Amino acid sequence: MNYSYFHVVVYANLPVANLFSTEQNKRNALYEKSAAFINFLQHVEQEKEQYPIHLAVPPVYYDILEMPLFQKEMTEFLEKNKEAYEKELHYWREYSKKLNKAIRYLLIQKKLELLASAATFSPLTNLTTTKGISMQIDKGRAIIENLFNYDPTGFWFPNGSYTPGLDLHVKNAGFEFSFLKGETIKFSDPLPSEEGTAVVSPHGLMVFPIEETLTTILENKLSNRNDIQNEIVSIVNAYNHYRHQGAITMAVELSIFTERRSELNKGMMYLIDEGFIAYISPAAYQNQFKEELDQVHLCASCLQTKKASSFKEFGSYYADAVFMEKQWEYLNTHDVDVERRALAQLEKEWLLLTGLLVEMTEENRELAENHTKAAEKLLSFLQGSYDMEWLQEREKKVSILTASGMQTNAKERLNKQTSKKKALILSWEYPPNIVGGLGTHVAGLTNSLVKKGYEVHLITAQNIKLAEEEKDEKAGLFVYRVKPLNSLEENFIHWIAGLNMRMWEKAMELGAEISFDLIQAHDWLVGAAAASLKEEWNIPLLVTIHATEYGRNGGIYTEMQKFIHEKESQLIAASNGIIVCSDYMKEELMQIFKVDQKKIYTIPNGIDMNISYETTCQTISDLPIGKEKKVVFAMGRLVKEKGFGTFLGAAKKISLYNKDICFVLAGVGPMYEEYKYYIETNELQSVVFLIGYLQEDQKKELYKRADIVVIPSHYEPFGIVALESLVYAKPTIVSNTGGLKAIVEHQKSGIVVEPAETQQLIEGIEFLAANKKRAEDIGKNGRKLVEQLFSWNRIGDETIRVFDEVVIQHKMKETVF
Amino acid sequence: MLEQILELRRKGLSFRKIAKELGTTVGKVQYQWTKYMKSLEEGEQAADIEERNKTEEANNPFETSAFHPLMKKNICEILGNNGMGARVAAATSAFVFWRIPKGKWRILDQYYGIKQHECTLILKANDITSIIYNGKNAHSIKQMELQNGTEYAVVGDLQANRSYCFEIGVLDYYQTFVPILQSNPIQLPRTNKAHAGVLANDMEKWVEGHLAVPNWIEHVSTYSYYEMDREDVKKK
Repeated sequence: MNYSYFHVVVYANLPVANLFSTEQNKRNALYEKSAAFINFLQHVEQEKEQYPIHLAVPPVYYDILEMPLFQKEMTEFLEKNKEAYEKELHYWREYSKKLNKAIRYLLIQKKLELLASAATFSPLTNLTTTKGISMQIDKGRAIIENLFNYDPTGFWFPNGSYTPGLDLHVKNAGFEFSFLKGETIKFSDPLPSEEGTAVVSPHGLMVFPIEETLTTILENKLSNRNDIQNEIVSIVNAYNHYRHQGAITMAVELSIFTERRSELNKGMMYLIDEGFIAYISPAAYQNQFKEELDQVHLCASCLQTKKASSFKEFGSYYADAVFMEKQWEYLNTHDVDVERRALAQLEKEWLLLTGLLVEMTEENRELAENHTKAAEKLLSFLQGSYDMEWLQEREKKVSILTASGMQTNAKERLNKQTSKKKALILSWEYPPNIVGGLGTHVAGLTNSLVKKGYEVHLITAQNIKLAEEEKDEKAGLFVYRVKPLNSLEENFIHWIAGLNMRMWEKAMELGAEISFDLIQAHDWLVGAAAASLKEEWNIPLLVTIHATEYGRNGGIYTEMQKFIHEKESQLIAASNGIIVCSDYMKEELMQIFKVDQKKIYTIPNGIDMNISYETTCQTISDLPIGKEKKVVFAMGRLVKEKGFGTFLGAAKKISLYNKDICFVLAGVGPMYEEYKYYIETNELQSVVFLIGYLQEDQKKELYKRADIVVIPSHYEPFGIVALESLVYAKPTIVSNTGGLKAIVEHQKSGIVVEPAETQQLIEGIEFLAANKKRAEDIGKNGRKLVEQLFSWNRIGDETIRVFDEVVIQHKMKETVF
Repeated sequence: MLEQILELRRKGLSFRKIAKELGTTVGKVQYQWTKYMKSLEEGEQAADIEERNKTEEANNPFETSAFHPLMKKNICEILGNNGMGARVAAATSAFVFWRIPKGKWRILDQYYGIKQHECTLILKANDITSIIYNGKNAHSIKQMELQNGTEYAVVGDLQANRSYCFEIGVLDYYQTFVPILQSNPIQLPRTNKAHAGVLANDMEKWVEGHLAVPNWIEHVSTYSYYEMDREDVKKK
């Protein structure tokens, strides 16, 4: 004969939040339910059921039973309706209005076992943070432990609401078993090897299946003890348990239990006597069968699926509870300066609101409103000033868990606030993501700023193949690499929109702990985020414009260019100040965007004075150049105006009589083929080397090896390239043109020759080749020159000056109005 | 004055011309310049920083109170007004909710000209069963238009045992979907035996301790599952 173990669970969603309603009839609903609860306790005490009942009610209800207000009004309620509640009143008086005494007695008698649950019966599936979930579970447990000196090992999911992962939280809180809808266990993955037994969840929680057919039968008012018996017997027979580990759980709502208990009892007694079923404590069951239980994945589950209308009508309260929880969690885990009482009260409002969500109806909408409004008010206090009077009132009105008190948890200390000035910098490019000069510029700038005492927080785009990351790159420099939601978006415009939204989010997160003095945005790409943040925080916005779409294309011709041009306009309009790298750019802005020149600051691009001395590459050793040869190096885009034709002409002549000098030309461009042809036809292959495009380290190698550098441009509006060679302290020959002529002093920090004058260039090269000491001095002086005028040290100072000026201007404007 | 001198120097002006430009004497300009050169030579940089830091701490005109009210406002804005969530509502439906902060509306307005109070919202349901969603790899997509100002919805007609994540966004001028927020992933329940078996392998590995992280969706996971780039995270 088959037999099975069984448990009976009685649960009651007692309307605890009703206690805090201002309307008497709402509070009476709680007292009515409490009267039914008393009836239940009475029954349990008097009846001789041969098995304990597992009781699940919102733990906070036990706390409420201790409250004088509850006891007073409950007494009034019972006395007013004493015809209906004669027995209950008697029982109530017997225990001197302290029902917990009754429960304690029943626990000792082993007639009752308590299942812990979320403090206010809030479905854990609605909770959103680990701290929120553990707080509700822990508080629920603590109430039971403190009031009854009872250690609950079983947990009840309110409404049987479960989703994978919650088992971990429940297990971590110290519980051993729980219950879920039978169907969920029936369809576990993998399928259970035996139906009708308990299983173990992925995180080790033992779960008993609830037989829904029994619930249905009980709920049917017309069924009788025979129906119940027959159903149980057929269940027992249906599950063929070789190891007798079948466990049938009946989970019944309290009012149904009360109505049907006499039939139920009769049925149960018969079955127990006949040996079909036997009670086993979950602990004993676990001890006996734990090795044999299947460990399976359990899917999302709940006892009564809410009608879609419940979410549709009351969805906003579910959402409110979530956003409330997130803020509560943050304020509880970070050392933010907030009034503890307000935070404690916020917790209570949230607990009560989430408890209501287990069964939202039109009747308790008002209660939900009540708590939502109070929570909003409390959150507004935390941002501004406190209305202590209101808080005091509210504390009195809504007071649960005053006995258990608030635990003061260790809180995460915020970064120690320094008195350093703090800049938020947005740049879509930053090493190692370098596309053009922007990234290199921002790297140099941020380094310089932190050396000079600024605290810099830089938000940039992360490589789409990698995860987001935050790094303390060095003292005072924090780099955050983010990815937009649509990081795989192919359309660049959309990708940038996504990036801006993600940067905004990141900046706001930082803004929770850091008070920035200003924002700096590099080019239009990050403009939308920068402008939005400026408005949010009301701090000055500085924009560095590296290049314009108009300038790049010589005008605006396509839709895309128009779009970008508009974004540049908007950003310029939103900014408090604009930094450009040359007067040429300044003119461009004034002309194209009609910017007031007072708003524009010209700060040239800086250059990194550090040159590392690791020799890692072989670009030079690949070339057939002996160590004793002198190398004359030139590099740049191979276009006519860079004057490499003159360079080759000089090389040709020199090679006729001087075998100690060789020439290296690096770069790519339209003139490549022509230069190659020239070298071949003049048989200069062993003396002149055209080596194409150079990577960063290859370039460094060449500069180091070079003995002389030549910049023979016919036209040079002055780019960074010119500065690079000087940084290597190599004696440099420059054309007397454009920006170069202004900087280099002939025979002192370089050799200046007229553009396109081959003979002058030859003389210059020979002079440097023949006079080693002079060449060395000239090289050193060239480097000093760059250091004086273009080092990041210098540029950093100037940038800070602009920062400071803009911040002061902004503050003055604020105080005037 | 030094900054100005440097600026003009970069333009190639001589000391005489600089003096004229700044309305001062050549001597004064040269004095500033020499002083600066000397400081460079003596490698004063390190000392510079220290000095600067000290004077900054001493007379910083910008006071930074430890808990600026703006910081708390940012906390509340980023946590209370920004985010999206999804819950299992029934075997084939999900409850989805969101809040879009005004800071993001500002971005959409500036960038696309999309107005918060005029635009249509688009809710996208992505079937992401057994994969990690990267924005483009959903097995199937369901897109719904919502009335402006909506902050939650119940999405029905989904498939049991499938996993979904949701996005809320708007359409740009060219009717392309621009996502603003993305929800957590959820897995809808199994409703029959045929649905079982998919996770059998993973469960076995998990039980034997070969998986550090569960290879299925967990509610409020304590594992940073979706941020990890692990071999044992399955991608079908």
